[in-house]
Amino acid sequence: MRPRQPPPGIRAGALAPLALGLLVMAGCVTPYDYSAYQAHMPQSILVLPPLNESVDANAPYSYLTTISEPLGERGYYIYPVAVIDAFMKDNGLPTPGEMHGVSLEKIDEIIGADAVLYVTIEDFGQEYILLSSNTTVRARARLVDVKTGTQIWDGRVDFVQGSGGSGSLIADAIVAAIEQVVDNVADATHDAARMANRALIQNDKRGLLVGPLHPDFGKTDS
Amino acid sequence: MLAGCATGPPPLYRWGIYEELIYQPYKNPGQSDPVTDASRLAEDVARTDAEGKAVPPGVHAHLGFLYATQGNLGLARAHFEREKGLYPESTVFIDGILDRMEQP
Repeated sequence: MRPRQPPPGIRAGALAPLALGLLVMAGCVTPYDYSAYQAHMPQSILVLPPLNESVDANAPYSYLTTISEPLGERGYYIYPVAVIDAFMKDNGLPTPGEMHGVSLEKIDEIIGADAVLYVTIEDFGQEYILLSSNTTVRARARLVDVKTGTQIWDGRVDFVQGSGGSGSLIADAIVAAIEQVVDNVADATHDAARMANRALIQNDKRGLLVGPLHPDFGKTDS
Repeated sequence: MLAGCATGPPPLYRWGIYEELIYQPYKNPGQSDPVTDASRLAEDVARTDAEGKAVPPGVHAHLGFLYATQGNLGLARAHFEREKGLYPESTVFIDGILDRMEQP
């Protein structure tokens, strides 16, 4: 019995344009609506210590201390994150949860920020699978205009970095053991937090718009 | 992706040790002290100035905070004022700190 269909090679070839089309379409999702953002363009951003849904107690501060650079380089004034944290703790707000509950009126009156960035860490840490490891940082963020309470932007980052083995089982086992002892584990997630923050903020399609302190501000309306 | 590796526009600021310095007290509580931190950060700011680069938002305010913590109110005030001069966006927050510092 001879099949009536063309041989597999031709069939695959015929399907290729369709597959390519799907790929292109996947990249062409509806552009993010920046109209509220543009209507309330902030010049200064207050970043509060993040809420933590991960099991790593150190996650909020690891994340918080890598966020000033990408935000500042994007063209915004960023309040000194550690000073803000100490200031809030001194004023009866010991946890990020309580800090996130401060009213926008109070923030306006005491800090004078144009917008507040509220971050929630969903997942943070390293997972070992045999002799390789995955470093994961997942977080979501909302940027809120202080004067009106309007949410002007939101974003989510899902950052996973794999580290493969060297190919030598003994070497890998030794490296894994040393890493656990010398707490490079924490540094790997800290570095991942830095990259996750950059991916979240300095993203031309879905990140923060270029801000007023950047020389390119207002040059393009992208 | 290759475009990202090419020489892009230079950064707006020299960030130096700022982010690493503010992370340490959280990572290893009790192992860093404000006196050492202040002198390290002051040295780093001097280097940024010497290189003719811009000191990023928050750095002078953090330095002022470190001096205030160790009771050196003169230097604290100077750096808070410096933050305000570079970044008028900080005025409300910094003026509040300065007012509270005046009260005994």
